[in-house]
Amino acid sequence: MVSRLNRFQDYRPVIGTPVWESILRLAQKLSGVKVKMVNSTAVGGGVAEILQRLVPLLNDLGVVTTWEVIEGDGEFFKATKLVHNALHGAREELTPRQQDIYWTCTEKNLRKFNFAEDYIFIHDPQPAGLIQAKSHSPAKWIWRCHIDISSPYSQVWEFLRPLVCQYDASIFSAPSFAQNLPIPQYMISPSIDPLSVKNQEVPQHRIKEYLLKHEIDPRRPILTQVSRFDKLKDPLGVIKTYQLVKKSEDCQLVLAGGGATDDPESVEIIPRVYEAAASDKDIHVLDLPPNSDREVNILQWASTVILQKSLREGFALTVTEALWKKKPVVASAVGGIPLQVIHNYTGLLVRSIEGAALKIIYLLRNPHVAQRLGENGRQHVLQNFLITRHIRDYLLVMIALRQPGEKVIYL
Amino acid sequence: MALARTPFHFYTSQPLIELTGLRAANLKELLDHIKEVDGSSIYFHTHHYVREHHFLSDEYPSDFAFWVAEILQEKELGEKLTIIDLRAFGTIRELREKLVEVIQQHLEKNGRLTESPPGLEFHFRKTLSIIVPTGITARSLAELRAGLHRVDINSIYYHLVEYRIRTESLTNDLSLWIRDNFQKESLASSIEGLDPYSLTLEECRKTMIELLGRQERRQKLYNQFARYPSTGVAQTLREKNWFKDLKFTFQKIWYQD
Repeated sequence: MVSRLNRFQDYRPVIGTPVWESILRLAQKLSGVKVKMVNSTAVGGGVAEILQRLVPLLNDLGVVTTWEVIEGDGEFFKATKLVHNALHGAREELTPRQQDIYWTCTEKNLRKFNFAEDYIFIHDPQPAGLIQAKSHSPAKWIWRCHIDISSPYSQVWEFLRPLVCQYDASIFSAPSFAQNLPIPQYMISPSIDPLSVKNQEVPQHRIKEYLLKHEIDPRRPILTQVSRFDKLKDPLGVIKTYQLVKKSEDCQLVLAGGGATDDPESVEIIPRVYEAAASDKDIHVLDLPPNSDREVNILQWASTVILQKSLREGFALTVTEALWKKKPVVASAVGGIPLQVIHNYTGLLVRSIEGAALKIIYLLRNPHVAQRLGENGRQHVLQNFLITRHIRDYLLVMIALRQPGEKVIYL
Repeated sequence: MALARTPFHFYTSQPLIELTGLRAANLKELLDHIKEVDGSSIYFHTHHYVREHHFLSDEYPSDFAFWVAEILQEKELGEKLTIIDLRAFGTIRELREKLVEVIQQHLEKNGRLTESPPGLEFHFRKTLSIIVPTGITARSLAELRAGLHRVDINSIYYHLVEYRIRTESLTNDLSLWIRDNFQKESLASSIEGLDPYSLTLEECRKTMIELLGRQERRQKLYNQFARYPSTGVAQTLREKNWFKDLKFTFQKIWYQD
C-alpha cells in the first residue's frame, strides 16, 4: 500500500529546521531544473521504493522530476537478471543471443522516450543502454548503480563497462563497489523514508494482533529476515542459522519476503524455502506481495533480532529500517551493510552461518547490549540514511556536474 | 550595542563523497596509498567522523584508526593513530606526513602483516565540498549567538573545522571575526580552544552559545555602570535600591557560570 505523498515540509520535525533549511537552500540553486529518472520496475525492490518517495519530494522542492520505466519481455528480464547476478559475482555468461535481446529491447525503449531534460539518472544495468541517446540530448547523464559490483564477472562487466564510460558520472552505494572508470564515481547511500508506512511506529496491540493472526508467539524471541526470496539473500542459510540458535535458545524465525516483476529467480526458490521450513512450526515463511509495507513494518517492530544474512547485497535497506526501529541487527559484511552496521557499535557483522548463530545467542542473552546497539543504530540512520540526506546528495551531484573537476565549489 | 564593521556570514559545507577505487587489505597497502592519494582523501578519512558519527567520535577520530584497531585488530597502532591531535596540523600535507611516520614506525617494529577479513578492506574515498551561504549574517555578538542557534551542523563544521583546513591556518573564522571587530581576545581564544575532534559538534555549538551569552551579560552589566558618572554611582544605586539586584547579578555571572 502506498501512503499519501509527503511534502518536504513534513520532514522538518524529524530532521530539524537547520538541516531542513540547508536542503531547501540547495534546491533553490537548482530551481526549475528538469530531471528524468529511468529504471526497470515500478513496484517491488528497493529502487522502485526509493523512486516512489524521491520523485515527488524533488518536485516539491522545485526540481521538476519525471520517472519512466523501461518495458521489456520475459526474455529481456531473464537476460538482465543474469547481468544482475554476474555483476554480483556469479559466473554466468551473457550469450550473443541474450546481448541481441538486450539491444533490441533497448532500441524499442529509445524510440519511446525523449531526453530533453537537464539531468538523466539511469538506474541499474537494465536501462544502461539508453546512453545511446546521449549524443542527441543536452543532458548530463548519470548512471546510478544500486547493486554490489565489488567483484563482477568479467565477461558481463566488459559488456556493460563501455556503456558506463559514456556517462558523465556514476553513483555507487558503497565504497567497495568502486570500479576503474574514467568518469567520477560518487558515493550515495540509499535511504529510507521515516514518514512512510513502512517506518511508522506501531502500537503494541496491533503488533500482537498481527502475530497471533500468523500464529507467531509474541512472548518468545523472534528472529526475522525481511528480503526477497533470492539465493543471494540466502534464505536457506538463515534457516540453518536459526536451527543452530534453537539448540541453545528458544526462539522463532520469520522469513518474510516476496518477488519483484524483474526477478524470475524468486519463483524458483520459494518452494525450496517452504520445504526446508516444513519440519518446524516455529519457522514462519511469509510470502508477501509487493507493497506489503504495513506487514513488514509490524514484523520488524515485533522482532527481537533482525538478521540479514545475504551472500551479496546492494545496500540492504531492510537493515536501515531495522536500525531506525532500534533493533539489534546481525548481518553479513557484504555490500553496503558495513556502512550501516558498524561492528559492535550499531550492530554485529558476521561471515558465516555459525558466526551469525553465535552472535544471535549473545544478543538474546544480553538484552542491554542489544538495546545499546539499537539506540546507536537509530542515531546513525538519523544522521546518514534518511531520504532527506539522499535528496541532498542528488542535488549535490547535479551541482557538482555543473563544475566538473573542482575540489571545492563555492555557491 | 557594538556593531561589527563587516558582518559575519554563516556558510554551510555540504559534502559529496567520491570513490577513488583504491583499496588496502593490510598495513603496507594502507601506508602506500596514504603516501599517494589526493589530499582530499586524507582529509575525508580524518574528518568525516566529526560530522557523521557523533556518537562514536570520542573513541576513534579517523577511519584509519578505526580500521586498524577494529578490523586489523592492531590495537597499539590504532591507539597511536587515535591520539594524533588533528588540530595541531595546519595542513593536510603535515597530517599525511605524521600518519606515514606513525604507520611506518609500527611496521618497522612489527614485521607481520595482518590481512583484513574479506569484505572489510579499507576503501579510499575523497570529498568534494560544496560551500553554500546560509543567508544568515551577524553584525553583533548577540546576532552571532542567534545565528549559531539557527544554522545546521554542517555550518558549525565548516566554521570550526573546514575553514581552518582550507585556509591552512590554526584558527577559525569565528574567532578571527570576533578579534577583528570587537577585540574580545579572551572570547576569541576560548572558541579557538574548542576541540571538535573530541567534542561533538553539537557540544561545540552549545559551548559557543554559552560563551557568547556570558559575554553579552558582562557587557550589559558594564553598560549599566557606564551610564552613571563614577562619583554618583553608589548614591544612584542606593537611591534606586539596586545594590541587592546587582550583587545577585554579579554572583550569577562570576560564580555560577
